[in-house]
Amino acid sequence: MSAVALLLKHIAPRGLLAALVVGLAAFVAAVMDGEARRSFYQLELQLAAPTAIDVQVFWDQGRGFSETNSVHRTLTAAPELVPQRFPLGTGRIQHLRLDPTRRDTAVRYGGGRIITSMGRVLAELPPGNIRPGNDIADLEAESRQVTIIPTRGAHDPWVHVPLEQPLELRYGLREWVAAGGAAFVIAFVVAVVLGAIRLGGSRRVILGHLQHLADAWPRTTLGLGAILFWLAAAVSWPGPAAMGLDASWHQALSYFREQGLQFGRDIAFPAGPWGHLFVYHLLEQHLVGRLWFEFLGKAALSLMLLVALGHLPLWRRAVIIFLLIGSAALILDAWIMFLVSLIVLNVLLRPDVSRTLLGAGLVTITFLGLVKFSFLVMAGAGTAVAVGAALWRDDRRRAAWIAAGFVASFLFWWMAAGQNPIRIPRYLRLSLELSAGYGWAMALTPSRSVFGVALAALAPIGWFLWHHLRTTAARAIIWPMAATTAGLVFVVWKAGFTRADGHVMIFFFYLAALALALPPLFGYRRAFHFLDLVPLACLIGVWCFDDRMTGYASRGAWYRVQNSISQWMQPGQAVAQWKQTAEAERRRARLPHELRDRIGSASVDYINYEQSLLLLNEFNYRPRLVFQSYSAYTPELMERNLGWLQRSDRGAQFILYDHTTIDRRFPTQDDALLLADLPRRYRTVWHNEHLLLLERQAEQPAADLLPRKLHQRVGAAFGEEIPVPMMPELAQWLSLELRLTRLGQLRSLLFAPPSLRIIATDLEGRSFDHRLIPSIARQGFVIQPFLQNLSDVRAFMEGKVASQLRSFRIEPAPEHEEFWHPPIVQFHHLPTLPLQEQNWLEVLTASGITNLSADAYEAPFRPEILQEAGRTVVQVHSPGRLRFPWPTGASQLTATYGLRAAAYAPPSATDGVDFVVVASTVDGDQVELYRRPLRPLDRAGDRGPQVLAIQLPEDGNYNALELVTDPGPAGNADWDWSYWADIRLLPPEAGQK
Amino acid sequence: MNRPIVPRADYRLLGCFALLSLCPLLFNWRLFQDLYWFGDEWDQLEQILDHGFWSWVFSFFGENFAPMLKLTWGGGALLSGGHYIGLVIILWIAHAITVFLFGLLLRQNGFRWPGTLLAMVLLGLPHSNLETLGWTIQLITVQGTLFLLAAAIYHGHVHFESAPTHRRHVAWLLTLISAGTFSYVRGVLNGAALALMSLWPDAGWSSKWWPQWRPRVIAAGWCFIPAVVLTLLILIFAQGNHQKIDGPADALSRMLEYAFWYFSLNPFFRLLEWDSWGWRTTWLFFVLKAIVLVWAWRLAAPRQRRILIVLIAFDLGTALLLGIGRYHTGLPSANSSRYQYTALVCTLPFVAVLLDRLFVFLTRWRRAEVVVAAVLALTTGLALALQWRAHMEIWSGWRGREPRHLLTEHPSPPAEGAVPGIPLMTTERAKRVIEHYDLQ
Repeated sequence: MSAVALLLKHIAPRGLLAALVVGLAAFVAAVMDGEARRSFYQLELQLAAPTAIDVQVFWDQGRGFSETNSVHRTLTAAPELVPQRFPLGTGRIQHLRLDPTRRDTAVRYGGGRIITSMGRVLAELPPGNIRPGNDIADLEAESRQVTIIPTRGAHDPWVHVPLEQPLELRYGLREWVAAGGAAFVIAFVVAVVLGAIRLGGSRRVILGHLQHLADAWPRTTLGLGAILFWLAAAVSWPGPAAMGLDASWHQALSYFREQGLQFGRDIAFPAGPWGHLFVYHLLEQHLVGRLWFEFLGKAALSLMLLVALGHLPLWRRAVIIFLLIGSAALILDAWIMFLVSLIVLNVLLRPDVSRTLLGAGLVTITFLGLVKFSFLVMAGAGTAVAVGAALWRDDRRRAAWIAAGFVASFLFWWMAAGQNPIRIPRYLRLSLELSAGYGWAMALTPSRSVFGVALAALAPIGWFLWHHLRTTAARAIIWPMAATTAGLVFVVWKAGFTRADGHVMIFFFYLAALALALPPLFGYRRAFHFLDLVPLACLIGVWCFDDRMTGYASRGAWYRVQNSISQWMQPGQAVAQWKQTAEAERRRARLPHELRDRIGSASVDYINYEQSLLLLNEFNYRPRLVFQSYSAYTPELMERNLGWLQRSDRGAQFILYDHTTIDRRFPTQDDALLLADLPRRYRTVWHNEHLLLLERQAEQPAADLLPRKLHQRVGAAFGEEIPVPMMPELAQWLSLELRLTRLGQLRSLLFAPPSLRIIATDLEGRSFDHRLIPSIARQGFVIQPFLQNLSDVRAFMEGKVASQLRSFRIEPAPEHEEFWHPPIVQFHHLPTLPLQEQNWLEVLTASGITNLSADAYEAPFRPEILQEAGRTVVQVHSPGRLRFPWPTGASQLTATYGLRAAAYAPPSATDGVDFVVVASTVDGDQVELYRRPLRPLDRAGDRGPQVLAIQLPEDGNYNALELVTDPGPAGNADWDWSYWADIRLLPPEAGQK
Repeated sequence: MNRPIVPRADYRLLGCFALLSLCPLLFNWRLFQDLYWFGDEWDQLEQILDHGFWSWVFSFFGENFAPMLKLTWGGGALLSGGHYIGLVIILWIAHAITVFLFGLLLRQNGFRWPGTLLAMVLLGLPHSNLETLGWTIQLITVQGTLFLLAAAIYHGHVHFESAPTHRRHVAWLLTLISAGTFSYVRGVLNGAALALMSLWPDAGWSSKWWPQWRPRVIAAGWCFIPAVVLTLLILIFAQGNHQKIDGPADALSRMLEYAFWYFSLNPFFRLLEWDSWGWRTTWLFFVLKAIVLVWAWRLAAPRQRRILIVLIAFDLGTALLLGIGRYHTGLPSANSSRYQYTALVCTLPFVAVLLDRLFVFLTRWRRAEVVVAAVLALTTGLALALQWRAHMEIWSGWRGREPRHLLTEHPSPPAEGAVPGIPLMTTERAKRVIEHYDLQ
């Protein structure tokens, strides 16, 4: 027998060809893995720190240091040096920089090297070569290591890690082939074994045997599949409480559950009453219960998924499970949405499914429906179609069974979550309101490539459904299925592409799995269908979104399996570690004692989204209805939050106010009504550079909807500069009539609403480019005074105007011009908010910056009270002048001065400022008492705060003392963010001391 | 050949709906009376005055050589005694005839009543035709379309129903095509489109194809003759943008861009009263139009395709010619009201195919089909006719009352810029024209 004949006897040629295709696909996938490319070159540093600390490594590719070319890493406390690897990407690297971000912790450094992921060493970095960069007190050299000691109170400590010569890091053809080759070989071999090798002369290849085995032992196959999915995708070890936007609402959901708050009455949020079971961060008291759910509940869901995959061919089930495992490593919603869809399509809509399975399906989708409102929309709509389809088939009993089952099951889960059924209508209405406004406020536009691939992936699905609608004979079965599929895909499309950040992966993974399931669900019997190409398009879409994601998905799944096994094998140790991390996070979030004492056990709320700060400090958190301000994005939600604040039994005693927002929104748009009402009802009792603590006033005005008096209404063109009325004694409210064109309406319906920007210009000519949320702009927001930062808000709370806008213009986002009609602008007074202009010279004294009242201020920009290097400073932009009346009786002047660190951190590049003290006589003569040029770019010693102490002349006919910031000999004032602080004029005895 | 084109009863219904298209004129008679001479009309009248009527008829105007149009319009202007409303009436009569011929063409080619009647009202009554039907110089479009439709009906009847090759028929065909061709510059397309109609292989191919195709090829040749003559005249004598086709690539790309915008946006953009403007909108309407055309083509019977191919060719040809001739006026003019008429004629038969499909369930009850179609068309038509008033109020103001007042009643009109739509004409010259023709 010839070799070829022997080969043909045991190898199926078609299988061989298929294996080749699979191998090539794996080759392409591996080559496409951006993470492998980025981490091919690595910086390995030997580091140790006595406590957990974040470090950041920057590399300069010729354009200075930037966040883009940097990587963060958290070091755990370790007594000995530990190698830490930082991916470097590719390109020509000229300089390296190491930032130990905790200013109070010394870090030990034992040198490093630049290597490839294969271990090849490209450069050695001896420990003795490092040089101080900024805010470094000392570098203590020991044997073969250096201890980096930051300056006390340092703002931004870092050290240079010099390279002997620039390094060219290239990812060339050899690297490409090496990365793809291994993947090709593995995938090809596996595919040949499964799809091409015949056993014992049988015509059936191994995959066929496996299918045969799966058919013979369906329950075993089901169980194995469920265990695999549970282990690799469903189950997850929750994370401890932490800070951040997502972490905050994660923990808040836990907190609401613990407090028994009612959704619809007390809380309005896209997640439902069971949402806390599917979030990552949770409060410690829920850990045990959550672990049980992960163990049992997720196992049940995994089993349901496998049951619902039911009669699909083995290879389709396997690939779907593989895809969902990959998706779970990146984003949770894809597999849950797929599970809901599968139950609807393969259980509820099938006329031949047993009632037991039908019941299990209804119990599952109603439970998931109370996890997130979008899941409820899918489940509810699918159930409604299933009822309609059963009625079409004249199967009234089944229709009644499905309808009753859904309602009963929904009620069961609702009440099991401790919710009152009477709140259901309001919960649904508020959830719809949140959904309706979501796109207006949260939409992000995807890249063209991602959008294009998504449409390309959708097209075959659309064609498939259309084809079946037209050609089927079994209309009562196929038409409801096609309509439901279209509806479900539309919901997932909106979920994925309205806020097209990582959410797009929900869509791609969901669609990939659905495309594999659809042919058999619609009765297609042959092995392959053109929809089987859709997953490939979806993976390309994921790759277009972020070329690291395909790699993350596979590696993430593998890590998940490893972690799951190790953590479930030693749960005690895992729980102990969890608690240790939670405690560390609590310590990190600890607020000052003064603040904690002030709040005590009184109720407190948080504006805007960092509610975790309250929970980690174990305050008596009393959330408002829409508890994160950026989510109060429709007029109704804004009004409800305002009403909440105004009710004495609802509004918290304290509010911790944080003037942040998301997506570069205009700063007063979040919870705009509530923000404007704060000065009437609360007063500032504490503040630092990030937070204000507001206390509820004893006297509360009557509840109202913030009376506004229209005084100007003008039509404006996009891009037209619109002057803001200058009436500093009255707060101004801006509302906009914004109408979409029909094309805009179409975009909004099918995709996401278009975006708008507002570019505001203040009195000093500075421009501020913000996103404008149309749904909030229709209701309106405070435009004057301009509350750009926390000190502006602080002044606003005291009835003062710290900053004013001269004008603004509204522009559609680039390429969104076609979607909008020109706006109509309406200015209103807020008669309940009388204001007066801020006297900056008084503020300088009140904030403790100086102990003598200044009588004049001159600078290109208004003074800004800031926190810099741990102290309160006033920025006097050069060329600037702060004048005091001559301090009779004082003999010494001390002051702190300097340039803000941001002025010389790339891309900023101040050429320096001269700090001068001048004494002026009544005749106009000036005597220079002190001059110090600071050149922080050139001299490390000129960075950070500097101190001056000078004796004042006793004789002379002086009438004024001036602190001058001079732009230097070149006269260039760019980035001259100069400041003064701690200005003290001391009497003679104090000077002598 | 004596067999009627459609059953006699059909003529009555088609005639009624053709008359229905006069509703906007009747409903807004007072406002139409307010209209006054505008833009190019002043120039034409002055040329008649300066060069004499017959010399003017056979002269070029830009790239236009349109003696047939000049005969009708110039004759109408002279015969109406300077009354603008006289020309308006001629224009609307031509419009009603065109609508009638449009319906006749559809019925002749196998369209059912729902599609035919709704297409007739959508051509006859939408206010998107305001400029075409509210400015008499636009008789150029209506007359050209009228002769195109007449030629298509005759050509179809003669060559596909009776198939004679008699000289009399050739003479009639040449007359109708020539009348259309010499009515406006886009008339060069009339003959080409009808030639395509002759050559469209709706009967399939057989082994003895030449005996069947010979008369068709000959007819196609006859159809081309007027177009070739007009093309040569334009190339040799006329001034216009066609001389820039072999110019810089920028001009060519702008011509193609204009053509694409024209083809995509018309007629649905104005018919749906769309309110956004830009490339996205253009692509949206291109997709919409492409879906309508492709879907209708797939549903159409071979007999219907014979006319659909003529119209799509005419639409594409118009887009190209307008791209060449008007690109310099900027993209916003690509969906000008004056261009809706041709686009409607070319696109509505496709819509009619879809409408017929939508009402296919009525085919079992022929009488019910006619009644339902008539009621629907009547309702739609009246709704469309009622929309004219708001637009005519504005139109008749700046196209009629204001210039009339300025030129005939104002005691001291400005010396220049008083004649609307033609800024170079001085008031003195305008007054000379007014006085000579007693313009009212």
